[in-house]
Amino acid sequence: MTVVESKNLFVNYGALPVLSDVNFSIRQGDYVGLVGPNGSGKSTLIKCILGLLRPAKGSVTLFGAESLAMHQREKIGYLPQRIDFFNPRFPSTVSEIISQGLIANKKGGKVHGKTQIDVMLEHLEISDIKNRLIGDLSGGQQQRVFIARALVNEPELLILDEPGSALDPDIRDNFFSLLRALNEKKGVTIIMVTHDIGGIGEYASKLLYLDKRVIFFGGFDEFCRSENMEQFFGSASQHIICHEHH
Amino acid sequence: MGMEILEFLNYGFIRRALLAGSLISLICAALGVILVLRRLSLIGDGLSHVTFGSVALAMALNVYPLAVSMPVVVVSSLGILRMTARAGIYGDAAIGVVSSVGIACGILLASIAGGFNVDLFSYLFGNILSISVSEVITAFIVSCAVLAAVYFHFEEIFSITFDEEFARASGIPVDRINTMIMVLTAVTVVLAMKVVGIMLTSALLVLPAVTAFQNARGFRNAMLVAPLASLLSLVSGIALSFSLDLPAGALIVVINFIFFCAAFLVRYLAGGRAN
Repeated sequence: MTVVESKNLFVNYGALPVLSDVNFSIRQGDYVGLVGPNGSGKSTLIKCILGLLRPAKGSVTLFGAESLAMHQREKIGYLPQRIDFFNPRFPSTVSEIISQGLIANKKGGKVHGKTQIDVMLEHLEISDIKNRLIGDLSGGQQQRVFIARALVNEPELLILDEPGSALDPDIRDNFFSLLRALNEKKGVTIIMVTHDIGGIGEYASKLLYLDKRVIFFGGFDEFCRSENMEQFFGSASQHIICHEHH
Repeated sequence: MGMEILEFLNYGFIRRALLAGSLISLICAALGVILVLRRLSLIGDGLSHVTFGSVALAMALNVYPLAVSMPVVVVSSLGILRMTARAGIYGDAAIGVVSSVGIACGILLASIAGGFNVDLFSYLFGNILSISVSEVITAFIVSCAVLAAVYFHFEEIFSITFDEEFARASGIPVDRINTMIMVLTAVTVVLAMKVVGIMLTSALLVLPAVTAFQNARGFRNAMLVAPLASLLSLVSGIALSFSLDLPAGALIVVINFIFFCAAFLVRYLAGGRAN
């Protein structure tokens, strides 16, 4: 089953082209590492997938549809790139923020799912801070709260924009193990933007290399066999990715 | 003093003032929590300046002020929203534009109509004791609409206020809810003009919210504490205005500020997030 499909996608910021003729198809159970240099259009592509940006041309479909109703959005979990976007004095508890991940299945004006929230708090080892205000937490704790918000609705598609950036090594390893388990046991499709080309080969099954257009999209084995990738990645980068993958 | 207040309750205009004032103070505080967190604190000032312009227009046309103010201020609030979204300017600048144009139009219209008169000044400083039965009914209808909107869209409002991008990604109709909040704010600001006057309207939106934020243990908690603080300020302000023979609107604002100072002191003494 195709989960995300991009067809002839063009996106411009004003007159500036950001993405040109982007084509790819991500299937259920894929674990895709989305890599590319700064300004290559990774975050723009994520925004198009999520329906936050309207393309100049072409389309992105999610689960076969160009736009999803709110209740269908429960299939998607999203972790934004920056975690310092919010007002640090915002009077909101950890539990309140995580519950926002369940808003797509809100009933009678309220979000339900206390058990799911508790399970997620436990998974990410933040049960002890569930009633604390978000602004009182460290960067790593805040990152885990937003990860919990992305995972709490048990999504079928998980879109993560540089998720490991603020995490301690131990927590980071646990988090990536959790992602792997979700991908392998539950068939959750994962798209992960990352600059960690050394680490992505360890987890992801596919690589989408973007530089305003798709430079490479396919499995790691194919990537590692590909000789003309050296001109884009440099031999060292390609070596690092492939070394971790094997 | 207690007996004195109870005696005053026998008067119809006092009961109308308390009823309408309580409703308006409740919805001002609830909307204020949302607006302050979205860094739109000055929208009360901006829209009340437009209210001034629209009241001047109504007086120049010799029509009922609320009938002119409501549509004019609603359109202005939507103008602020459009300017922020489309013209690429920040909310505070958009509020500044609408606010100054509102005041300028008010001064021009008042001047054309023969200068400032007592009626226009009464709108500037408010007169809660002159609230009519029809204004009480309007306040009741608007309050029900605001409270119902906040209750049924509480989760969406929280989501948009905290993280608009995530809210959009979750499929929340962000633009529709933003429009709803702006329209409700506009209508509320026009009503608040009767309670504290155009000059002090933003105090009813901002002060209860910042009071609640001092010690709030969550968004939901802030949404309960702010209206409570606002209601207490309103009732005690009206009561004191009878006892001390001072303007109710100004007293309500001063009491709101005293509550803010007390909340800050509690936070400070508790060693909370005072920084």
